[in-house]
Amino acid sequence: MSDESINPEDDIPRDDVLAAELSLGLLTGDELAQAARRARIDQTFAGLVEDWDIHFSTLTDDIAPVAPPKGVFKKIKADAYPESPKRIWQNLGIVPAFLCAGAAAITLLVALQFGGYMQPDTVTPTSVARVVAQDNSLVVAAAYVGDSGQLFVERQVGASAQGRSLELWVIAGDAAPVSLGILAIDETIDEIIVPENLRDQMVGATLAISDEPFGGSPTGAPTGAVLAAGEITTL
Amino acid sequence: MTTRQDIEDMIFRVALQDRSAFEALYSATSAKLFGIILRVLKDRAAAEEVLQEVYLRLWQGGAETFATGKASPISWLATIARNRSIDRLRKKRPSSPLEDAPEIAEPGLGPEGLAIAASERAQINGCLDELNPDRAAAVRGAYLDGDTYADLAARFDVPLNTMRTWLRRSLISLKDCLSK
Repeated sequence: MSDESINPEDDIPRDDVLAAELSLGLLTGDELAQAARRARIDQTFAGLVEDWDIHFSTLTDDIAPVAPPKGVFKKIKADAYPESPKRIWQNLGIVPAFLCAGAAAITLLVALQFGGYMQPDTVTPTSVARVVAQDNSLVVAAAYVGDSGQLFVERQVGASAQGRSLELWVIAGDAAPVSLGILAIDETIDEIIVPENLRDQMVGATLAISDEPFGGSPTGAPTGAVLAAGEITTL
Repeated sequence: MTTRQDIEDMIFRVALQDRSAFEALYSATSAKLFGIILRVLKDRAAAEEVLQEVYLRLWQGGAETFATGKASPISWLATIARNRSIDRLRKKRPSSPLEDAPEIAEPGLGPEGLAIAASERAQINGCLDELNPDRAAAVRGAYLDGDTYADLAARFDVPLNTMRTWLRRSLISLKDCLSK
């Protein structure tokens, strides 16, 4: 391996050079694996590596800060916090079920595949809907948790047109559509808290999605084309 | 103004799953870390992913490995950001035999090293300036561009072992200078 010698009279221990090489990332292959292993088990050596890490890290002092895009922390939270819509949606086990449901443009009753992986504190949906465009250009899956009034929606296919918004409505019986809000553009999963006065009307109602000006309907009623609709069905 | 102590406190509170501390830590440090990651990766989309990964890992147990010790919290965070960026860079480079970059163990330092860090600031730049410019460039290239011995040998068009000898000597000189 290292045949070229480091001057033996030099009182810098060989380990220090190895630590610097590891810290800088110069090593590859076996040398890297061995040095990395040593840093895990040998505290003295790990201390040398850390000393170099600290020295080298000052090479970043001159690097100007760059503000990350606004949505990044939201994405971090969506992965980090267990009650984030993304995490809950993943736990619902609903995604694969919907994706396998085929192209039928009717509301499907989906048998949720609750597996053994479900956590005891997992949110349990009481009803679901599949909100689908005639031509399948827009497919949104929804799961409603009756106890808490949470409605999780996942935009599985399609997106809003440039400069437009997709707005979600609930239509209970013959009542006028009531807006549940617009679907996020940069996220595929939304959590919506259904207003209390609507909660007991959710089952059997229809979810619909309309094309609206950016930011949503200015009138409080749908103004654009209804792109997709589907009935909310009890599980 | 956020002080070193503030950031240390934030990291400790993040280790206890304190969300407001997590948010505060992100506000105080993400621009610096994003700058570092962008500098290494030179690719915005990849840099955003690495930034997310860095903070997610901090939240999911990484913050617990921070020990008040020699490293200032910013230096510690900068090292994580730089190392994760290098990991990412290497994954894209099939020529490298490296599957995963090293996890540096946290050595669990006592409080004795506390006073050192501030004086180290920028010291390395002065010491690098004492080296032959090529070798200083090689050290900087390794740190910020993820160059390995093999990459550097190719870039400076010298045999691998020559590059090793060069750089090892440079690292010894660097250590000498840093210990002064």
